[in-house]
Amino acid sequence: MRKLVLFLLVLLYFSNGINAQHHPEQRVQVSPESTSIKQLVESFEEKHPLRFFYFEDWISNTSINISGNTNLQLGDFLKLIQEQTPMKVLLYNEFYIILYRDLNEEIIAARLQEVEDMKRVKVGTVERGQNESTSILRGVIRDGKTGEPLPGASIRIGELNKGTTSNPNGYYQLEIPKGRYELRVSFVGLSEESRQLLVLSSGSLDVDLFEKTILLSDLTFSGRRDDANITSFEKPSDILNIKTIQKMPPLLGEVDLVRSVLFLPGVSTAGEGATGFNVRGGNVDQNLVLYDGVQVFNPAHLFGFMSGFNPESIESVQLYRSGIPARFGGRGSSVLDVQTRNGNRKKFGGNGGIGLVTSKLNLEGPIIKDKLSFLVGGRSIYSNWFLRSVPNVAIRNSEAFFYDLNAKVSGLINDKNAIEASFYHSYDDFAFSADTLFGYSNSAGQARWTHLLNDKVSLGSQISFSNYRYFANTPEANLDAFALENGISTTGLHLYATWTPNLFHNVDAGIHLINYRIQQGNIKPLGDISSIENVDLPMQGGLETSIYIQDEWNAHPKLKVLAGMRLNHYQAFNAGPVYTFDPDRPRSIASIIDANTQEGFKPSTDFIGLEPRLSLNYIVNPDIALRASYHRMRQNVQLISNTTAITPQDIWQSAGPYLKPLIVDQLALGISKNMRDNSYEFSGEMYYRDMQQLADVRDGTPLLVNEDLIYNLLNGNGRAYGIEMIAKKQAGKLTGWISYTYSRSLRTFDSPFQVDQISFGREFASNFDKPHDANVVAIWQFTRRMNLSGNFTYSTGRPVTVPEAFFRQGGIAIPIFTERNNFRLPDYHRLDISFTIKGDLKKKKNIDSSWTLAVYNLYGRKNPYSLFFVNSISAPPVPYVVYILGRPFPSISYNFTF
Amino acid sequence: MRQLWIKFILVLIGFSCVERFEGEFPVSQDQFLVVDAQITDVVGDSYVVLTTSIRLNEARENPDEENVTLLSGAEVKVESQGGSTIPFFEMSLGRYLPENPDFIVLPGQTYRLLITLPNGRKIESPWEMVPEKVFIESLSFRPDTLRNITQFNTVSNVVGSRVLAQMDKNVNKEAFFQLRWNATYEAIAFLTDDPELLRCWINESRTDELIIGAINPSGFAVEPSKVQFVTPIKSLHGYYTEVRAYAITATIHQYWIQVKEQLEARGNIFDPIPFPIRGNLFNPNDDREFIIGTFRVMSSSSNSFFYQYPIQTYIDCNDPALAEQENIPLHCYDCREYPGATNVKPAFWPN
Repeated sequence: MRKLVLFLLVLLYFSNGINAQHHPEQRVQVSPESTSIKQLVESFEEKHPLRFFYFEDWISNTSINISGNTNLQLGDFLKLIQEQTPMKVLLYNEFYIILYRDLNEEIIAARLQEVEDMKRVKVGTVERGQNESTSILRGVIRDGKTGEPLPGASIRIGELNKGTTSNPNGYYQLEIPKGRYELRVSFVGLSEESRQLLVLSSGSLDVDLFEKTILLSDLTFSGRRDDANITSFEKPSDILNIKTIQKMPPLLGEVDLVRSVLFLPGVSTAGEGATGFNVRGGNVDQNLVLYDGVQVFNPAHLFGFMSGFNPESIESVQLYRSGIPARFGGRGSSVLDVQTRNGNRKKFGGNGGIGLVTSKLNLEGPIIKDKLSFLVGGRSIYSNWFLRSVPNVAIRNSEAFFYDLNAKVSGLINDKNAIEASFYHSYDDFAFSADTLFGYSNSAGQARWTHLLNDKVSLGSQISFSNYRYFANTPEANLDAFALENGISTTGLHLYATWTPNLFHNVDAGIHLINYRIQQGNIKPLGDISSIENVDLPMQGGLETSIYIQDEWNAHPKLKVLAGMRLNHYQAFNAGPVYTFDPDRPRSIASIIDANTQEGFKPSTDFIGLEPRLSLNYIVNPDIALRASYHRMRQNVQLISNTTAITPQDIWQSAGPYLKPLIVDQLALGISKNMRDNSYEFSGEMYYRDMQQLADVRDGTPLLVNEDLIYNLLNGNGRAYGIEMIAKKQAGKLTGWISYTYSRSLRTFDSPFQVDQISFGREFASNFDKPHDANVVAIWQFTRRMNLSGNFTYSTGRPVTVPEAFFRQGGIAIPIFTERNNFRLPDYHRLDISFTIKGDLKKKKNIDSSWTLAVYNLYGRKNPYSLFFVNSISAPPVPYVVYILGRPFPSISYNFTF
Repeated sequence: MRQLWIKFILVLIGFSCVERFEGEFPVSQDQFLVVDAQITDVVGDSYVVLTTSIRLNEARENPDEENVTLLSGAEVKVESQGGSTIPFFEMSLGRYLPENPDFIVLPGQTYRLLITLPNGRKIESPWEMVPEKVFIESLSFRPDTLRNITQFNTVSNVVGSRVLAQMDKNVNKEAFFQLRWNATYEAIAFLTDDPELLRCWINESRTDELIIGAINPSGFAVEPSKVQFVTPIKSLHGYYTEVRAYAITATIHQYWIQVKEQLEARGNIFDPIPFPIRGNLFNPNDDREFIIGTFRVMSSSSNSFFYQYPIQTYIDCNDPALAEQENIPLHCYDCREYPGATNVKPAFWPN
C-alpha cells in the first residue's frame, strides 16, 4: 500500500501537461442516476484538468447521494465523499486529488516529505551516513559557460550560518551535519544558484554558475546580495571584478588592471605615468604582484601608462593589505593576487580588441573536452603612427613598442587531481630619436598540481620561475657606445596542504622556497671604437625558505579567527669579496677593516624571523561586522631607487652584508555594514603601519652599474597611518562606489654620519604621501546593450622637493635644497567617462562585439606633473610646471568575442 | 645613461605643456651662509667670499639688485699641514684675500680653511691636498651644431664650431679637472670708409658653464672635453681662446657633478630627487649643521688656440631684412659699443 501511494505520488510529481488550476467551483453536469464515485471522477477528469488518484477497490462499487444536484461542484463532490464514505481527500498541487483511506496524516506527511526529498539533490548514501557524525560536502564551482573553475566563489548554507569560498581550483569543502539544507552559491558577475540538499553522508556536489539573465523590461536585480563583506576577513572592496574593470573608462582604448586598483581606498601612485602603485604608505616594491602565484617584478607597459597584464586573460584580482594570510610573504605592504582564466573546456572560442594604439587577441578551447583546456593571448602596440603625428621632430623619429603574451593549460585528471601550467612574457622597448634603445622584459611561468587526498585533506604543489631584465644599447659608431643590463630572477617551489578536521577549523600549511638571483648590472663597449670600460658587477642573491601554518577558526557563531604564523629564513649569497666596515665611520673604501675574499657564489649572511598574522571578524548582526587584524611581513629583496617614481633601471638589492631586510608591522581596525538586502555596503578601516629597515641610498648616488653602490646603501624607518572608507552600490541600473582615504606616509633616515642622513635625519613625507584621496566610480547600465561609466578622482598634490633659496657662485645660480618633499604640487583631480555599446543580443550568433568610446580627463584639467626651475646667469631661478595629458584624451576601441 | 629617462620625459612633454608656475613657495626664514673659497697656484687667484643665500622671492633679473648680505668682520685663514698659516684680510665687503699677494699653492701640499664669524661661529674644511696639475694636450675646433630641445619643447639649431680640449692622459692616478675659458675675437665694422677705425677686439668668457671631467689612467682614451661653442660670426676675422684646466679634488668634482645634475633636472618623477648638496665645509661644534659652499684647492695649466672660420660670408648691412633679425652681424655695428670690446689690439693678436 505504502509503495502504491508513493508510486502515485511519484506520478504526481513527475506528471506534466496540466496547466490549469483546480478550483472548487468547477462543475460537471450529472444525471441523478449516475452517482457512482468512479463515474463522477471520470466526469470531472473529462471536463476539467484534474487528476484523481485512488485504489479501484475503494471506489468501484461506491456511490454517493448527490440529492438531485445535477450541476455538481467539485467542492461539493469532495465534501460528499468525505461525509458519506470512509475515504478522505487530499489536494495536492492544485490539480491533483488523492482519495485515500486507512492512512493517517503522519504517514501521508512522511510520504510527501519523501516526494519533496526526491526534488532535493541527494548527497551521499544512507549506508555511509550511518558511520558518520558529520559529513563533508565538497565539489567544484565552475563557470557553466566555459567549464572553468571559479576561485573565490561564495558557498553558503543559511540554515547553519556557515559558508566558505572556493580555492584557486574552484574547489570547496564544508563540514556539515546530515540534514536538509538550501545551498547558495554566488560569484561576482554570475547568477546565484541555489540547491535544495538532502545530505545523507559525505559526498560531492559540483555547481555551475551562469551569467546573469537580464530581462529587457527589468534591469533591477532583486533579492538579498552576497554578504561576504560581513562574513569574510577580507574587505570585498579589495576584490576587483574583471567585468567591473572592463566597464571603467579606458586610457588609449585599453582597460587597465593596475589603474583600476588605484581607485580603491588606500592605493595611490607617485604621479601620472608612474609605474606601479603604493598601498598604505608602502613603496612600490613592497607590493607582491602575483600572476597565478608567481611574482612579477615590473608588470607595466609604456613606463607605467599601461598595466602589463592582458585583462582578457584575467579571472580575478584581489588586493590583500590587512591581515594578510600566512601563505603570502616576501613583501612588506600588500599582495595583488592576479588569477588568470582557464580556457573553455567545452568549446573553442576567443576574443580580441582593436584600439587606437593597441590590439589584442585571445584564443581558448578544449584540448580534451571537459577535461583539459588551453588559453593563449597576446597584445601589442602600433605606436609609430601615433608618434609620427607629433610635430616635434625628435619625437617623430622615436619608437615605442611593447607586447605581452600569456598562455595557460589546465585540466582535471580525475575527481581528485587537477593540473595547470601558465606562462607570461612581456617586453617593452623605446628609442628616442633613433638614439639609444632601452627596454625591459618580464617572464614568469608556473606549473601546479592539486590533489584531493581525502574528504578532509587536499595537497598542492607548484614550481615557478620569474625573470626581469632591463637593458640599454646605444648606436655602435660612437666613442661611448655601450650595452648594459641588469635584472632579477627567481625560481620557486611551493608545497601546501589544506586540512579541514571538523566544522570549526580550516587549516592551511605549506613550505615555500624561492631562490633569488640579482644581476646588479654589467656594461660593455659596443662596436670597435667604443672607449667604454667593461664592468660586470658581482651577482647577488639568496635562498628564502618560508614555512607557514594558518587556521581559520569558527570560534563562535559570531566570531571568526584567522590565526597564522610564518617563519622566514633568508640566506644571502654574494659573489666576490664581502667587506666589513668600521662602525665608527661612514662606509667607504677607506673604512673597510676586513674583507672576506671568498671565491664563487657563496652564503654570506643569514636572517631569520617570525611573521605572526591574526585577523578577527565579529558579526554583530547579519548586517554589521567588526574587523581587527595584525600582521608582520618581512621583505628580503628591495628595490633601490633615487627617483620620485620607480623606473625600470632601478636596482634590486638583496638583504645581506650591506642591507638588512625590511620588517613591516600593521594593525588595522574596521567595520562593514550592509543595507537594503546588501544592495549597499559600507566599509571603513583605520590602520597604523611601522616599517623598519627601509632601503634607500645616499643622496646623489648613481644606480646604474655603480661599483660603489654597496657603500651607499641606507637602512631607515617609516610609518604610515590612515583611515579608509568606501560605500558601494551593488544593485540596480547604477552601480559603483565612493571612497575616501585620509593617510600619511612618512620616512626617517637618520645616522650619526651626516652623509648617511636624508633630509638632515628629520622625518619627511614619502614621494607618494597624499593625505586626502577620494574616488567616485559609477557604471550606469541604462539598457542591456549600452552602459555609461565614469570615474572621478581627487587627491592632494604629491610632495616635491623645491629649493628654499639659491646662491650665485661663479655666475651660476645654484638652488639650495634643504628638506626633502617640502612642497606640494596643486591638488590632482580628473574625470574620465566611457560609453560602451554592445552588438545585437541574438542568442545564436557567431560574434559578440562592442564599441567603447572614452574620454580621459574630460574637462581637460591641467594636473601638474612636475615642477622645475630654469637657471641662467642673468636671471633668477624661474619655476615652471609641466602638465601631461592636460587636455581631454579621447579613444575608441572595438572588442569582440567569438 | 641617466639621460635615458630624460629622453622619455621629453616624449611625454611632447604631449604636454609647460607654463610658468605662479604658486607660493616655502621661503626660508633665515638666510644661509655661503662660503666660496679657493686657493690656486696662480697669483691673485685665491680668495674667500662670504655671502648669504638669496630667498627665491627676492630673486631679481639683475643679480646686482638682489639682497645679498656680504659678511664682514670674519677671521679667515688657511692652514698648511706643514705648519704655516696664511691669514686673509677683508679686501672689500665680504671678500677676503691672502695678506701675501703672491700666495700660491703647490701640488702635493695640504691645506685647510678656518673661518671664525663675528658671532663666534666656526666653519672649517677638512685637510685638502692640492692635486697634481693636469694638462690640455691640444685644443681644436670642430664643426658643430648647437641643438637645443628646450623645456618648452622647441628645437633650435645653430651651426658653428666647438672648441675641444683633449686632456693629457699621463697622470699617475685618477685625476679630476674643471675647465674655464677666456676668448678674444676680432670684429670689423664696415660702416665707415676707414675700417681701421672700427676694428675691435671683443673679450668674452663665461663662468656659468660647468665643464668638468675625469682622467682615468687605466681607462680607455679620454674623449675630448667640449668647451665653448663659437658662432661663425665671432670667428670670421679670428678667434683666440685660452682654456685653463684646474686640477680639482674628487670631493669638489663630485660636488660640481651634483650641482650640474640638479641644474639640469626638470623635477619630473624620473629625475633623481633633489637634495642638499654638501661641500667640504662643516661646523666643528655642530657636525649636523648644513654649511653651503666649498673650499677648493687647485693647481692649473693652460693652453691657447687661434682660429678663423673657414667660410667667409658677406652680409649686406643695408639689407632691410636684417632689421627683422635678432642677431645682427657684428660688422654692421660700431663694434666699439659692443660689451667687452676695445679697439686696442691685444699683444698676442697676430698681425
